[in-house]
Amino acid sequence: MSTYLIKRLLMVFPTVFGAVTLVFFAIHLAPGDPIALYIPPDFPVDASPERIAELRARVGLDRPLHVQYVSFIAGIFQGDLGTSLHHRNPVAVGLLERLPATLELGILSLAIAVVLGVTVGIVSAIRRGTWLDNVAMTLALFGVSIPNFWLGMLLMQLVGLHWPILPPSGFGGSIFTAEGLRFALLPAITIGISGAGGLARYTRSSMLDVLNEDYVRTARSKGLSERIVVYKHALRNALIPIITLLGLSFGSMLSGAVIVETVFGWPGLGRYLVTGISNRDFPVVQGVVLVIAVGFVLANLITDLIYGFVDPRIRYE
Amino acid sequence: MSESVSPATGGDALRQSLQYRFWREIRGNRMAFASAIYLVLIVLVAIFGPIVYDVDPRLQTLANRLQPPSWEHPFGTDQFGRDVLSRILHGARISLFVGFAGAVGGVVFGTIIGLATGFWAGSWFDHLAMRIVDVMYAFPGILLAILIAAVLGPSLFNVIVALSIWGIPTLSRIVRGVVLSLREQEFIIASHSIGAGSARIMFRHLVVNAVGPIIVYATLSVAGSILTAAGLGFLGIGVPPPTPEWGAMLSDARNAIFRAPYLSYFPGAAIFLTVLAVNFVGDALRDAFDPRSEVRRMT
Amino acid sequence: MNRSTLARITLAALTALALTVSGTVAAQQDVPQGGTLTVAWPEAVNNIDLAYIAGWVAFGAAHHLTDPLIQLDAEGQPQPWLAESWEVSDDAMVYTLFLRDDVTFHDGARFDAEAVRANIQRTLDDPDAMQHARFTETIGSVDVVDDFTVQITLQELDASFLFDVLAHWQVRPISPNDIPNRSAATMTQGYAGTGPFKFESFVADDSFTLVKNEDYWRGAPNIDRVVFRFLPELSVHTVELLAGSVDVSTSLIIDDIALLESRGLEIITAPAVGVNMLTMNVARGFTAELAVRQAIRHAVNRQEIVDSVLSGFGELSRAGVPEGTVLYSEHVSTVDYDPELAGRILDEAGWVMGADGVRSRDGVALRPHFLNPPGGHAANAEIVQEQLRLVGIDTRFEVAEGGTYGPRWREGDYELSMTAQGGTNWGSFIGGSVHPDDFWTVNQIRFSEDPELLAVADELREIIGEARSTVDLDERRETWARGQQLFQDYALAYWLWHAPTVTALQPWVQGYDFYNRTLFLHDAYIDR
Repeated sequence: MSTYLIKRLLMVFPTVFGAVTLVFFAIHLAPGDPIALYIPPDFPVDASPERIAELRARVGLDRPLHVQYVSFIAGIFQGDLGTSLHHRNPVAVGLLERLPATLELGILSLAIAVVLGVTVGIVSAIRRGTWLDNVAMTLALFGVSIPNFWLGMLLMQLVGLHWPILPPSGFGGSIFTAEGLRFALLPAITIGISGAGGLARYTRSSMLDVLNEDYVRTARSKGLSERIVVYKHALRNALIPIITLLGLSFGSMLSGAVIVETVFGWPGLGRYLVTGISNRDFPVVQGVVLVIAVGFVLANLITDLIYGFVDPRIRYE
Repeated sequence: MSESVSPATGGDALRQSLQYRFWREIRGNRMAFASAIYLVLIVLVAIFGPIVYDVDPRLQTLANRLQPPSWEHPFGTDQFGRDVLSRILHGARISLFVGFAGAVGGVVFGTIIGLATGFWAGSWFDHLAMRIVDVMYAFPGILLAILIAAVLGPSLFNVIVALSIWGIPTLSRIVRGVVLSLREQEFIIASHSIGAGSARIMFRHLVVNAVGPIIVYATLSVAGSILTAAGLGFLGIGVPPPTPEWGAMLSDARNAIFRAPYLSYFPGAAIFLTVLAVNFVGDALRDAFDPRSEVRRMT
Repeated sequence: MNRSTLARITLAALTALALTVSGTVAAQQDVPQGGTLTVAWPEAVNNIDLAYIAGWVAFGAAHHLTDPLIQLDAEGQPQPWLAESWEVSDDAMVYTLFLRDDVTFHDGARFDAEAVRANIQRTLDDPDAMQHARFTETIGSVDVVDDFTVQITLQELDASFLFDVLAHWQVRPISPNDIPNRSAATMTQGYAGTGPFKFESFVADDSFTLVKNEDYWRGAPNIDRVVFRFLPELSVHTVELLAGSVDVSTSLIIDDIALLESRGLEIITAPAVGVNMLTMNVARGFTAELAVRQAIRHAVNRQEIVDSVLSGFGELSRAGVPEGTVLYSEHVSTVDYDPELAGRILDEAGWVMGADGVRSRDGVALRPHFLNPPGGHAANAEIVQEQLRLVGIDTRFEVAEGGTYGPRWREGDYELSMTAQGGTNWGSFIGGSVHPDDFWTVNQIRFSEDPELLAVADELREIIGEARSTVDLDERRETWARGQQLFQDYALAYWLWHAPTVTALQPWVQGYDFYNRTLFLHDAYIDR
């Protein structure tokens, strides 16, 4: 087990390294030139070829690609992710500014997804085959079938404008303050609904499996009330595989945030990445991908480990 | 990840049993049945709709822009005065093609990689391919598709390429998992011992056994592809205008969300219903191919 | 003229200016005080230090921190501001600025000649400064004459120096105490300017907040605090305006304007320096042919686009400059919509209409590559595409992704392209617009292989050189007009329309000024 753990941990490095390398070359070789950032198309600025060459040299883009790559990789090990071409400040600073907003939105979305998804899943499983089950499972599929930017806009119109319960968009600081939470709810619900759909379906089938296990039948046959059977025996065991799904859900919510952050004007990593891509702000794209890849790979690893821990049938090779 | 294994029986018998289970599942599940009918209808609409309703989806009548639904324009007109119904009908061809082609691309390449790595598990090829898949796995959800679409530039073909690559990692892992668990089973070992060639073994037995999870995943990834294409449209790296792709239409409609809300309802509903139907059918397939669901039915 | 007389005259001029440009100015003393004004901003500002690369988005929010030395009014005429008057030597090589003596920076430092010198010097020394090379090429020396007089000597004659350099936002002074600590890396951090509002906070991708400067030399603003919220989705601006959670937006979806107006929001429009244009690559492909370019111009119905998609918010352009501005000349010809004429021109050039509705010549179909930037212009381009299709020109339409448009356009990877150009003042704008060697040259004329077009390019270069050394404004206008006429004669581009900036404000926002794409909030107040 511990050798396996070490082996898996070591595997994180080549994976993240590969992801960053892939992104580095893909974005550098893609059409588009970040120097255009300094020459707004609708605006007359000094843009002689000499000036362009000078700007290129100032940000180090005149060096051969392999030199840029080596200095980028070397920089990572020194905690230097380069300087944003658009924001002109260190990418590490830009990431740290935005990471809390994205993480907090992710946590809130996940909480919403879990509360909604697990509740619906349990109800569905207990009342399996009834109309309630059908409605619940249909709703769960609704959540994963609607384009999230459209859902966000519909919610914004309904809850932000038609019934002005929550602020339509924007950022109110940390979600652990009342004001911050009010602003975070709409984007979090938008992301959470799609996550809830998947979780509800998974919870239902997990519950159904457990309800058929021998010990649950034994508990029933001992004459324990259905409530105790469900909540004390079945749910506890059914939740274990669900927990393992959370790691993966977090990753998909992070990617949902890429679009939803733009809709709601949420100052997180998603917007940093999207504007970074369209500006060809190479260091920013590389930096965000690095952070997301590390986070996602670690989440996967933890998921696998928990899975193995709770299910001894999985053996580690 | 699903590690489900179908009971290993002979090829034809297995195929029959799969078909049987599939139909039993579809008929037993009203939503899945209705969804299957809806999907058949939407394919018919894509094929015959533009022929029956013969209106040019590109024809602009600027004097008639943003008209609500009427007899003349049953779904209204868009920001250029184009007929929305005509665009939805032509869009069905494009969107279904994008969803289908994106899924098929991912399935084909994912299956090949999964089969090869599973069959030659432990070889240098397996290690290399699985590391590459790991790297692709490091991009959650839509992120990989965004990066690819942005790098390639917006075009219908590039969106399909992005969706295909996006599907590869999950599918290759699923297939590899199935192959690995099958490898040790008796009938494969038996085939080896009677001197059957590698390719024959792979395609006679492994493909047939992996087909369940592949079909389930492929179905669900049609849904994922249509949704992801819409997301790419929102970010400006989807199918470019004036192609009437549903995601692009929905994305364009967001600037008319007040003046002409119906503009987003039609493509939005088209995407939503189609993805929903595909998901229902995918779920039914999953139940059909997942032996654990047998347990469920017995209770 | 002694200083106090000058000051009085200046004050009168200022008042007159304020009255002409806004018409909504209320008496300062009896308006409601206090409150926070929230402005929805269409993009995340990445820079509030205007010495560095800054476009309209950054300027529009950050200009409240500083003041210009010389203000350009709505007609593009220079007006006294921090410099209460100026003198230009007869050879136009020496500019002497007489500065106000009652201005302090937010940190308490005195605004004086030394501060102006230090700020101009800063843009000469810092290679990241926006117009670095232009400034270093033009400015010879900056000398402090006395406490409030500064003299700038040019090393090269530049007739539009006043407009392009002294009125430029790059030289808006910041406190000399801050200058040593400034660099491109600190461009979102606060500093002390002289403006009506002081820096409070900047949250990347979220907001920029300013607070009132109690000691502002033109009187303290009425509003306590201004918040610029960065909202990239324009439909969200409408939502926020209707919900009342945002007070102002300068970036509206045109189709929502009627709704906003019906809900009691005030809609104001103001002309902006700039023009929407259809650019044509004269050095490549189908558009290298004069007949094709002429036909395209006659086939585009710009009035129809303005009337429909733009809801009338656009003024057809004669030749890149709108009527009523300093460089507008009636001597430049204009282009009319005439699809039949377009068809005849193409027929005569041998482009024959095919059965599929596409013209061709010698088996080659007329399908020029139509490359467009993402965003609003692409929508207008879709209409142009359809209008061209109706005369038998079937464009290969493409919307470039994000940052790829600029470089591809610059490298000439297009035959047609829909674009908008703008600037700080009409002189530098039209200069850049017709310049054959400019980075954003609109027609690739310098890469043409046609000797006739190369001769035109030479003529344009001559005209630009002449305009740069023509100090008299009327004369300079007619010099530019000759350049514009060359554009018309050779169909080097199609100037389509001037789109105004359209702003929506809540009814309780009063007293603002709005011109040159810029919202001025010094006199604004909130009256609920």
